[in-house]
Amino acid sequence: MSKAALSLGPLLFHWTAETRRDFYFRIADEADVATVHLGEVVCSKRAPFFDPHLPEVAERLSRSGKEVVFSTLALVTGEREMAMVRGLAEMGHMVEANDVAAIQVLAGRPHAIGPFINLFNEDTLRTFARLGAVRAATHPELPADTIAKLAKARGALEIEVTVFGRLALSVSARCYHARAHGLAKDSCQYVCGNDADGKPVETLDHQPILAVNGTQTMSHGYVNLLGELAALRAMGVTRFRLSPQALDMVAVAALYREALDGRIGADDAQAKLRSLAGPVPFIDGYYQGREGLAWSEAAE
Amino acid sequence: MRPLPYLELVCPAGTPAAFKAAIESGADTVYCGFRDETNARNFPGLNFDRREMGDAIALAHRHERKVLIAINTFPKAGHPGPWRQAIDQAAELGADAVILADIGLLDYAKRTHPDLRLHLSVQAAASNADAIAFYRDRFGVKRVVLPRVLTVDEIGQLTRAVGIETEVFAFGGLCVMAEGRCALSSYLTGTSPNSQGACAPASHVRYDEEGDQLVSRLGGVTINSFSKSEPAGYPTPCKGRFTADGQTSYLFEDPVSLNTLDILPALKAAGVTALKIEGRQRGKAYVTQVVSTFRAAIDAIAQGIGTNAPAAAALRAISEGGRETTGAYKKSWR
Amino acid sequence: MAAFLEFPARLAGLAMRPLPAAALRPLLELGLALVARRHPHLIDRLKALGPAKVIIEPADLPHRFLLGLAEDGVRLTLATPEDEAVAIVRGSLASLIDLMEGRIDGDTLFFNRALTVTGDTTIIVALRNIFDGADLDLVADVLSFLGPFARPAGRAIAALDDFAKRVEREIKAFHDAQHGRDVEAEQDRLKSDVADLKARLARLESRRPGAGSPA
Repeated sequence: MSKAALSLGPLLFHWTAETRRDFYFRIADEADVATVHLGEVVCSKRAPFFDPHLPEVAERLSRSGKEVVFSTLALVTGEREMAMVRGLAEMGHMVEANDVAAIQVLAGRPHAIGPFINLFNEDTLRTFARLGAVRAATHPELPADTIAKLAKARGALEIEVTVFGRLALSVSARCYHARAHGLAKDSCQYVCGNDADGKPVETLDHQPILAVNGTQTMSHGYVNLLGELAALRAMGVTRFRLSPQALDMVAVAALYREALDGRIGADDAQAKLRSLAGPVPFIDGYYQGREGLAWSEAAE
Repeated sequence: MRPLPYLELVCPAGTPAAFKAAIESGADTVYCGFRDETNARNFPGLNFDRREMGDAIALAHRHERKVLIAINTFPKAGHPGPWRQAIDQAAELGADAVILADIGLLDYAKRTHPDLRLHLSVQAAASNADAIAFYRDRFGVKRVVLPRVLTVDEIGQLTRAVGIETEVFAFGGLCVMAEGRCALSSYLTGTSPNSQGACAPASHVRYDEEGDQLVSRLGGVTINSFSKSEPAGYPTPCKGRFTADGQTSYLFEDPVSLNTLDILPALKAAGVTALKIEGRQRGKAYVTQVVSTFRAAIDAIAQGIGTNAPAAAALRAISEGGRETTGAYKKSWR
Repeated sequence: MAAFLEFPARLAGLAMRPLPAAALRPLLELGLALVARRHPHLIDRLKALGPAKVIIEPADLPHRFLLGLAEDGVRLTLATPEDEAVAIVRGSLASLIDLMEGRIDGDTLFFNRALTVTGDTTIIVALRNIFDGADLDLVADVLSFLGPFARPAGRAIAALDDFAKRVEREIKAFHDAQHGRDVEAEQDRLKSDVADLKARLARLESRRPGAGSPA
């Protein structure tokens, strides 16, 4: 069996600088993950809060033997945001491109393709590889058979699949957190900071359906591909991403590590993840080739 | 002779009849797609087979107008055939350009048909100068259709920076999320605008009359509920009513259409080459009304005359929810 | 031009009365035959949508229509209460005719709540798009069928008016019949009149093989 690395995706929510710093310190000290993604992906207005802590956090993670990857913004507009992307590219760490702007900046040197890039087929994968991509995270919409085809065509490139956490479904110029509070993006008062796991959104008939996170819209359920790890490894997927949520991510990482190493039974693993996730439902619809919010009960 | 700078009017056609209507109403350019999943308006009963496409191109060229073929979905892994074939056919039939979004497909088009003019689809959501430079430098893209996330000022800066033509949306349906980067519809239905070419596909839409209310559902999930005479919108998640913090509202966007008639001079001053009318899924009556209104407005601006207020007001009647917005073109929208 | 546009409205006016089913049936057949003759491509595309049945419900009429789409043909009949369909489309008769002729945009009607769709939305969207793309013009279709009468236009309109007046007379007769006269006989008379009219029109058309270009 090929190697299997766990990676912690970028923190997508607007936690206070202290909470964020402490979160990463604990990850550095306790979490069994190979890679940790830093960098603000959702909203450039949030970045200045944590920027002062970045060197310290990156250093502590590196010291604990973890690879640090900087993820770029998912939607880049204007000079200032382009400058942010260029700044990340100059920090000496691996950079994950989430906007094509970053690919343009990173072309010719090793870099990663993030899950916000539209990578749907082998031709696109090969084009990215030619430009220097060494790693690609799959798009959330991709079903198992497409992931398998990409993994088969990967060449020297590593394929990473998100196996836990809320899925980012869309990104916009408009801030929905601000809009929900009757504010505009320019005068947002950083209300997105009130919802550490995203703001819950229900349908008119009270079905919990989405979570709003600033300019981003996310799934209500957490993706759970715990039961698919072996299948993914058999396809040639070597990297498994956990997207941070406001719960015990060290325990989640430990559980996925146990599952990858075959040290825990399928039922036990699901029961454990269930208790860690609290009341939030699981989803795996996209992987199963269905509507994204579906959950294959067979896996429960 | 057309005065320079000239705003090119790019109009939608979902059927040969709408194509004819666009030409007759004064379109400079018409865009359309083949009848399959290779384009982002893959709706039942819509679009062009090979023969119809050939006829449409011949008609346009007789009138000295241009035809752009949208091949703007993302080819399925292991199944590139239909997309490559669409590009080959567009080249054979003499299309004036193809509108593409997928990087692998751009690569194919450039290698296989080096003389075929390439436009970057809005579905690529290239929203900044570096991203546009990527497509310009690597694939020779000649024009970029800008995503509906930019202000007029940003469009001006971008147009000056990139040195290729920019095309912006002038009227019609308003994606509130960055285009080609929205999985809300597939989250509820399992079919995606990116891959299958339809947002809120009719196959997953249901309307139910419940008491006095008309309830719209997508993939079984409630999107909206309209009282008897309330204007309705498309059953897309981004125009639905949802509850957050105990308050029910149009969380993402009201049912509303984009209309830029009032800001056309500003868009022209920003240096854009072309104005795009959305609506390949709309009928020929829509095409006729919107295209002739914009034709008159562009001509009026070129002659230094103001726009026609009554005509602008008339467009409101055909808008989603009966309402209009200038969307992201004004910063306050964000 | 005004007289041309009057025709659908006049038809609507006729149909709005409680026309007996037996009289409507041949009229529907005739109408569909006229369309089929001039738009074979439209009929092919409609056939390809089936097998499916759709109910068309003009909100201002006492009748509902059943559009049957199948490989072997397209049928337009009166719907009975027992008929089941995959979808129902409802709107005023004028809206429905405008929509069929592509004179109004379907989404606009929907936004304005002038059109309601229940059931399988796909087939209604497909029907809408196929009709919109067909350049249907019911007046031109009828005119082309009238053959030599189609020109000059004045005579064609006179013929149409004559046709409409005849049907109107028959309906009036039908109402009278309800007050004591034999309804069955009246209906038979109406049916045979319509059959006569069809035969006459068919003869006229056959004398003019080139007929078919729009007025």
